[in-house]
Amino acid sequence: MRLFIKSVLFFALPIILIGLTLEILLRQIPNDYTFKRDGLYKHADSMQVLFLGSSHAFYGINPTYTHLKSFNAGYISQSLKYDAEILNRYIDNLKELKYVAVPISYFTLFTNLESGSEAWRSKNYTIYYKFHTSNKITDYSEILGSKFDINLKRFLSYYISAHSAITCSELGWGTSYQSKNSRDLEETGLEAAKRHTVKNLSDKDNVAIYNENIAMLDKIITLAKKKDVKVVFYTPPAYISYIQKLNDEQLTKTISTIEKLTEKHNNTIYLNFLKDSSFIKSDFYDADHLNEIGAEKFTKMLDSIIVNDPKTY
Amino acid sequence: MLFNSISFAIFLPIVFVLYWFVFGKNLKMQNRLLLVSSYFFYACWDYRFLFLLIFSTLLDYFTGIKMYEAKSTKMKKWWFWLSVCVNLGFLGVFKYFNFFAASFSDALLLLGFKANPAVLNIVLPVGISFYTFHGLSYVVDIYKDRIKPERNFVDYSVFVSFFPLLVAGPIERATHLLPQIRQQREFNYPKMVDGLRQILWGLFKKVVIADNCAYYANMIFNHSSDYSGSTLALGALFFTFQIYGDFSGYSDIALGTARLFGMELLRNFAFPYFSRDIAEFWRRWHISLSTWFRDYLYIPLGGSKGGMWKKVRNTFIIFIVSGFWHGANWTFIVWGALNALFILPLIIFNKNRNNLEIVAKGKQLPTLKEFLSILLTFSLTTLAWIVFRSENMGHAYNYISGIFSRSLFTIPEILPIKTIVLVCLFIVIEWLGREHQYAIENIDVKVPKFGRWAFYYAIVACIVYYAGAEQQFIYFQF
Repeated sequence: MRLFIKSVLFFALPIILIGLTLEILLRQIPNDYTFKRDGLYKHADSMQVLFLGSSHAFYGINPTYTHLKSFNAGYISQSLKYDAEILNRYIDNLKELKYVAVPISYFTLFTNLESGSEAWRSKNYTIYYKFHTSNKITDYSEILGSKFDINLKRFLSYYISAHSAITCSELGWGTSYQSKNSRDLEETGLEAAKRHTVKNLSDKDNVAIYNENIAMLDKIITLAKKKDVKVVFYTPPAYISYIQKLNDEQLTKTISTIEKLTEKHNNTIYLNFLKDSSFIKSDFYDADHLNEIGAEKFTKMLDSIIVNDPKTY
Repeated sequence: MLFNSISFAIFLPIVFVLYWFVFGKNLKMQNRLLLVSSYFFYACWDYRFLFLLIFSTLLDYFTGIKMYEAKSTKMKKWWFWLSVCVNLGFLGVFKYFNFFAASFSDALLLLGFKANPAVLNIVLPVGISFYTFHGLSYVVDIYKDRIKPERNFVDYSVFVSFFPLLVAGPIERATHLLPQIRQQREFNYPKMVDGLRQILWGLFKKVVIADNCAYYANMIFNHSSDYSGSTLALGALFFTFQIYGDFSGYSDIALGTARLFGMELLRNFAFPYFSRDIAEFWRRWHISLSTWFRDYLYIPLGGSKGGMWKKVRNTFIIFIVSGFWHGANWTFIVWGALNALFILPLIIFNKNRNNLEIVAKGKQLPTLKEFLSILLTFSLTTLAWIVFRSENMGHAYNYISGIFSRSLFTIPEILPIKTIVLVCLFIVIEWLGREHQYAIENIDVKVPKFGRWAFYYAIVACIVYYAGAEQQFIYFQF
């Protein structure tokens, strides 16, 4: 029996050592999550507006153009659960906070990070933000949480080629979606609408996700109310090729849900920019993401409304 | 808890250490530990269905004893049918209710009546087909006076619920597994190493071969109308290796895991894709299910006795039932019927037991005749897998018609060289190890320690490289 245990340990030792080394080294690589986490502390004393949300906020809101001091804590596929977690974690430190802005996109109420194709990103919230909301072991490790080739590429890119993994500005705006690299708007409109449309809204799992998201919105509103902070919900602009392919039922349910919610809570407003005609082809990176030109335009537009402290749009 | 998950990688060593180091000298405690860990393993899927498993176990345990103690044949029969009806009833409700309701409604529609079938919104309890068959074989064996009932409830429950075989087999027999559960197990170093080696090989088959092939098979099958005949043919080949890597990989992990606890499970696969005819294929593919149907359905129906017509009828019955066992879909039934059709000439000309030994035994390569026979059998099997994999019969028909078009002779739109090389390498390893229980079983005899460990590390590296999102095992749905 002892011989067996000895042999197994001897065989496993190099694998465990390599694994541990890789895990430690991967965690040392600065990334967008650590950058945003640190940014939330760094700008805590002056931050007046906190932008949360998914890639629509990450690429669409550039805090450089706001009158009030703001920070973009949104990120790719960040669902409402993580928005609520971020707010819950940092709101006590944000003494000057006046507004929290949360995008309510076509898919926001019907998806979560854990059940989508980007589920592997959930590990970043447990490892770097230290949110212990996941019960998956793989969410607590870099090497177990994503594919080996992806980790290897990250490792080589940082340690060998000395490339930075940071893709956002000082204030958290995503800098990768530039107009010079814009994608085909027709094609991406079709693809994104298909990807964002839920097959059956009354399906048990989808209903559970919807209810969970409503609970998260309530949590955000309650947290904000306690600190006398206003919550600005908004639907970001999208290109016509995307809008035309959306499912009416899903879109109507999204809008009516958020409208009802804002009617119920006096510290909230809802702004719908989805079909805003001032956004033209050259503002988009793809059919549902703004590029740097669109982000500037949209941020200024949102900022002017926030500054005027509106009750309705 | 999947075999290829981190949770299982933590669960298994804990149970192993407790089993040998804490309860090593106490058989009763070892069996209790196996039962508790098996129930924990099952509850990780869905704890609600654990009650169904326990109920099914209790039912067969008590009906087994009642049958044995029955004072009249009538009473014995009564207990027997109670068990059979309840077991099949559960299977019927959970697995087939919606299928029958929809098929009945379709049939009425053909006659001009419109009906809205009642649909049960229920989840299929994982492993129900497997543990129901375990229980059924036990009850039938007692009814036929082949075995005596097990009086120790823990031992019987371990027979039904032993975690390596609980969710996807092999489908065990009481005559094979129960004596092993009752008997004191000794720690055997070579067997433990062999168990780990088989687990490693099973993981390789699943993570490297099956999951890689699954990626392309899914892509091609899900958008089959977009692809050329050659791509569709390639997609069918990918699925052929996916299902083999997936299910035989699972079986290897199950057998290896059971060996770590001193138990030998029934062999489930014996290099089926090297078969020279369909009859041989079915002696080598999902062996525990084929033999179950042979012993509990084919032989009671009369088997090969009673003339050609009866033989053909019985063959069709077991293949169609076998197809239906896989799931409530016409594709599975047609897949079963196709296999029956393929085997028919061998039955009629009494050639179904021609190839009992593994091909080219003791030789490096097969003869040309053997090679062509393997190729023909493999092609027929692949054709049947297309039906098995398709969403419905319309999809299967379009897929097969798509293959047999002019575009069959064009370069496929999807040509993943890395995956094809991996599959070829896998075939070579399987060919070299075809005379053993599993391909790399004999490596410790043939290769010195340094080379052996280097080979194991290479397999581990491949598994780590390709491991990603845990993929479900195909047979968990059955």
